[in-house]
Amino acid sequence: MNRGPQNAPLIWIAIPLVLLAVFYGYPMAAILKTSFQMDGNGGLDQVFHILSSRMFGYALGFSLFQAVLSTLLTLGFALPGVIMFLLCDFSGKKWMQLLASLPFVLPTVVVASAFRALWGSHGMVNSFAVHYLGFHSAPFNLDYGLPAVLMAHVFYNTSVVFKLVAGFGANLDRSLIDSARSLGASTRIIVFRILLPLLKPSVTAASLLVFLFCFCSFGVVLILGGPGFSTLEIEIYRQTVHFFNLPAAAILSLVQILFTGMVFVVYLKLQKHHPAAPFNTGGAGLSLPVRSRMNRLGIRFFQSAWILFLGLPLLSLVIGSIYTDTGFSPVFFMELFRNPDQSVFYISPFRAIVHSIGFAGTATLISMMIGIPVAAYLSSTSGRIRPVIDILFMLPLSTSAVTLGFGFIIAFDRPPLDLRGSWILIPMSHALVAFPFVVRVLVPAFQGVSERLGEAAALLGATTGQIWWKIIFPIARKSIAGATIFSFMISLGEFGATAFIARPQTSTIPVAIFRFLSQPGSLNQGQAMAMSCLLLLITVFGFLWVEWLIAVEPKRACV
Amino acid sequence: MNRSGPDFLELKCIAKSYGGLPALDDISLTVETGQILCILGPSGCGKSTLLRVMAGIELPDAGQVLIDGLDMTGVPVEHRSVGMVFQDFALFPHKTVAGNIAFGLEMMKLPRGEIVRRVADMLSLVDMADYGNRQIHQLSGGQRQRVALARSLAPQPRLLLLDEPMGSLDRALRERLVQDLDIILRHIDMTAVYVTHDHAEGFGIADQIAIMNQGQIGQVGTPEQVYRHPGSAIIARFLGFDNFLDGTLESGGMVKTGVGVFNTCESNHRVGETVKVLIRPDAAVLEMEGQGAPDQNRVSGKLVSRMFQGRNYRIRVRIPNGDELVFDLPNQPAPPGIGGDIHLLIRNSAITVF
Amino acid sequence: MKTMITSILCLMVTCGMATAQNPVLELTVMTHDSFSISKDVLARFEQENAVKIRFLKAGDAGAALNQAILSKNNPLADVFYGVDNTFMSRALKADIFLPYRSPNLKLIAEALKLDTAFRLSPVDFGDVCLNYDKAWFASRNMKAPDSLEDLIRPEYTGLTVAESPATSSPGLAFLLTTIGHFGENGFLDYWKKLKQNQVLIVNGWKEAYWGNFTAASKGSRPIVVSYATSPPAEIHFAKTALKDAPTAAVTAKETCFRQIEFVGILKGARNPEMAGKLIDFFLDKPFQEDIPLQMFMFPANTTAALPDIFVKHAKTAVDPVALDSDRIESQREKWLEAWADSVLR
Repeated sequence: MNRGPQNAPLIWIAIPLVLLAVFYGYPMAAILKTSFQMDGNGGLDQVFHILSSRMFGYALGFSLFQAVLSTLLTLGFALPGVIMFLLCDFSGKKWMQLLASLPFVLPTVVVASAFRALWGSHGMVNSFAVHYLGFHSAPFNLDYGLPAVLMAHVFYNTSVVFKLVAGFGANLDRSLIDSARSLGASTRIIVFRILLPLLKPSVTAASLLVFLFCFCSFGVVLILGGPGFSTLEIEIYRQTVHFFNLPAAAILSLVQILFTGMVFVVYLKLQKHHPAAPFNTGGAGLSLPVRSRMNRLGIRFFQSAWILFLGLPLLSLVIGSIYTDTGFSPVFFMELFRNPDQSVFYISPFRAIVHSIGFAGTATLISMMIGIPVAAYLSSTSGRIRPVIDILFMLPLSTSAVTLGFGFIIAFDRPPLDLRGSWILIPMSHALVAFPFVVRVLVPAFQGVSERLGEAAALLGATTGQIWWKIIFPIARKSIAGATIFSFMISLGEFGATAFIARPQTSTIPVAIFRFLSQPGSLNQGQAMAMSCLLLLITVFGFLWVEWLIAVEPKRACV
Repeated sequence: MNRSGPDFLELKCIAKSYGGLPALDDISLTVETGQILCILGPSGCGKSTLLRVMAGIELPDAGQVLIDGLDMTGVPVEHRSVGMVFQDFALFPHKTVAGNIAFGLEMMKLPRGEIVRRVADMLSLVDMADYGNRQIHQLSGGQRQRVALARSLAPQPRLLLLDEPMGSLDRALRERLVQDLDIILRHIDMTAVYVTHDHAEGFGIADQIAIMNQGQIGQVGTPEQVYRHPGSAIIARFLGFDNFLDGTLESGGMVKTGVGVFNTCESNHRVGETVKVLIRPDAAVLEMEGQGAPDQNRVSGKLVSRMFQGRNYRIRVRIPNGDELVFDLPNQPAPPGIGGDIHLLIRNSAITVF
Repeated sequence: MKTMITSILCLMVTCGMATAQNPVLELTVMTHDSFSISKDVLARFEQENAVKIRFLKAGDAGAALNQAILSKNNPLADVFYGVDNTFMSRALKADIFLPYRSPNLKLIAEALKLDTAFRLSPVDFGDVCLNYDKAWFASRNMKAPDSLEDLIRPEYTGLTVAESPATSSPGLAFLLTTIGHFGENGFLDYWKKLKQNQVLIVNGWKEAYWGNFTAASKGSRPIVVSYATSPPAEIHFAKTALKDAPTAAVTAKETCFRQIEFVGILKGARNPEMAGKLIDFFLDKPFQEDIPLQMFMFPANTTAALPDIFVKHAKTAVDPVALDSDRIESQREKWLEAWADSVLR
């Protein structure tokens, strides 16, 4: 968008830049410096040695391979649903939206166990196939391996595609679709020649995020892939924690960051020259009435696919939390409120919820505070500095958590920045991860707000600040709300227990889940499932709350 | 101006409601071949919904849509061969000007050469022959409007629907474009329905005007009929008429009001009934000495303001009961100065009684 | 928007209040995620010494130690709890601990005292060993395993799940068991046979136990690499009171690796004197008797009484394999590479 000939001044993002420098740049520089100063460092030879090792080639290759495949599969699964969601009017849309939001918050261990309960060789689906469909042995063997990894990645990242693409598409001007129809376009033509090209910026952005997410995958590959698979992120963790080989870890971290940079350059190339689609200022949506039987069948098909694939694992979780060998009972939930062993580190579910919401709320606040100015800046700037700024703020997403966590330890060790062990580092690190999502949601939204609106407001004497505050933010409020809930969920699900100093007094729900699962006993597993259900419940409430916030905004008169 | 032919579009008892609130309430309308019908109404009156029902974008809850004698009620928009121009033009931002215009032709699976030829024809029809390769965001508002028109006309629809096509343009541009649009539509003899809330625009282009309010059609007629004889006080107000006087009907069509008696030829009300009298602003002339019957069709008061508008003066007169009436007087003779007493004679053809 | 911001601010305040703390004399203990202690045991120490103990948990044992090493210029804590014998050599080489000879060391089992310079004091231990599903073997009239060699016999095909030593600490302990038992030249052969016998390797203990062990999940493997204390934990954390554990541990000669955990005072501790008192406390009976049910490890203190559940259901390894800590640290990467080459690739 060219709002006037000048670019936005860099001062807009002064605070975000400072925060990024302090909480990302400084610790990264510190850990890299320490790593390369460690003894036993053979300089370039060592770099060469690592980069030519089989471990490295394999980890990079597999990271790349599974990330590309996961991204394609996620798009393949999510896009038809999103398009259906955008184009058609049908009952149960709210549920689809909610369903797409939930997986994101669940810890990997929980998802893995839910997956296995369903698709595993002894899972429900296989039992069903053996008992009722006449199979002699389990038809699926999805316990471990690439298919399990891919499925889990699709399960998680459908949220990303849905949030970005549906959020963007909901703001598209409905008359574009109507006019294509009035020119004789069939639904197929509308999807392929109008809707998809219009959605392209959000689809590319979603692909980028999904790719980076999978490229840096840790838990999913570790747990569902099994020991035969390894990504760069896993190798970085191993080199850091098991071998304490920081130089090697640093080199791998740099490769991962460098690679992200390269992917990002490709992304920017793809995004170039794409005219912003006009935004619908009314918010009627694109929903068309469903007429033909084929359409109705199609909708049912995709709804079922979503419920099967996204809903069933969640359902098996809920069942796991209330099903005991003596039948259904709330014993696991009741047990959450007891501390029979009088452990100092016992967390009541209430406090875990308060901590989780507190951290997630703070992280959301931070990521929105840096996300909105940066998105505003990026959407009104062109020229050489733009991609640099853009890429800079994307880096935390692809930086190994353990590298950054260790960087915190080294960097913040003396006043005034003696923040080690401070609770602020946790929401801060969550915000760094959530922030790129916020920017990717907001930039196309801000760009989409018709420049005419800005110009008209300027003619009426509005200052730049007023234009943003009074015109662009309110019109893009759906996207802002979407970004808010998105970053809230990212923080809610992150636990980062492996890499960050945690004060056990402020344990969150995911940390509690981990604690339960680290000791044997049926009660522990049941309580972990019950805690997971609480996590889902919070997400549902958060989702409904944001929906409500959007709904209470003053309605616009119909034209 | 008036052409006539068989009814091309016919709406029968169309009804539609959203969440229990009626948006269209039993609407019946006809448009003759080659005619331009303008649906005029305030915001939220349901006129856009009615247009979308005609197009097939929305389905009515009840009623029928007949196009050229065929029942098209259930036929979706893509199979109606109806052209449509939207308020924000809805041009595809990812296609060029030519790409936009060609879109409908491609849907008809015309051969490539034919498409190129038709696009060129359309571009010259809207006087934009050199703009085929432009991107949409490089165009001005007026140019976009013309591209939108060309795009909707390219597949040679049988009926063109225009939904506030000037809605987002400034007034000066609007007046010129209404004229251009009028010329183009009549040149190709297009049957059209034009929705707007601006009566000047509507009067300028329509053969027939349908006034719509709260989901109902209030009045249908030629622009002249609607202008001269608004069907109700509400319609009159919507058309911008504000000179209302309260009165009582007496025998012989005479109405007695606070400022005097008016001869109105009124026959719809009973003698003794309370009525409202509308005096159109173009109905007055300055009273000369000894002119007109005494105490009939006269308005006297103090001149509150006068504005010279070239062809006429727009004046505001405060009558004895304190109300103000607005009149457009011929520029000769000049009215008295502000504050002075003024006496006006009213033509009785310009008086309507409700 | 405004409503939203206000709401989030409210949340922040709540969160801030929840984490606010009152200033007293503080002693900080850095430890791993599995550490636990009873409220009353800790409270007694805090009251007697007028001190407030703050805990920092820093990931698994390896991650926690590395963070302690990285922060040695300005340590995060006064005391570090939970260096185990596989990481001991790394910790001592990094020179992050102060020597402290606790009077309570005399109560500690001699075999556990590995650091002759008293920088690290042994505080608890646990044996990593095979666990099996008792019902599974009973229902098939099969003999439960009681040696490493059993696992490569044909009738045990596809029965075992183990953790990868590359990513899991019990996994590493099991690899070390095989190295201790078969020797550096023989262990790869054993693993190749295990692989032929369809051993399932997963990345972590949670995966192995909760994902595949027949006694704990819908898994298909009745033998799992876990701890000798897992059977009593099964009883302790059962939904309904159990008479006997559904699982049993194999503790025969040279089938286990003993993980010994140490505690030490970090160099640069702000209050080394009080830190010393805390070490004494960790080695003393009240805390030592608290260890079994909090962490499911055995106390290092020989005078500590075991809880009933341990007396009845827990076994300790008869003769665990012996591997030198220095050797583990220097050979770890090499062994893991070799293992990965022959088992994973």
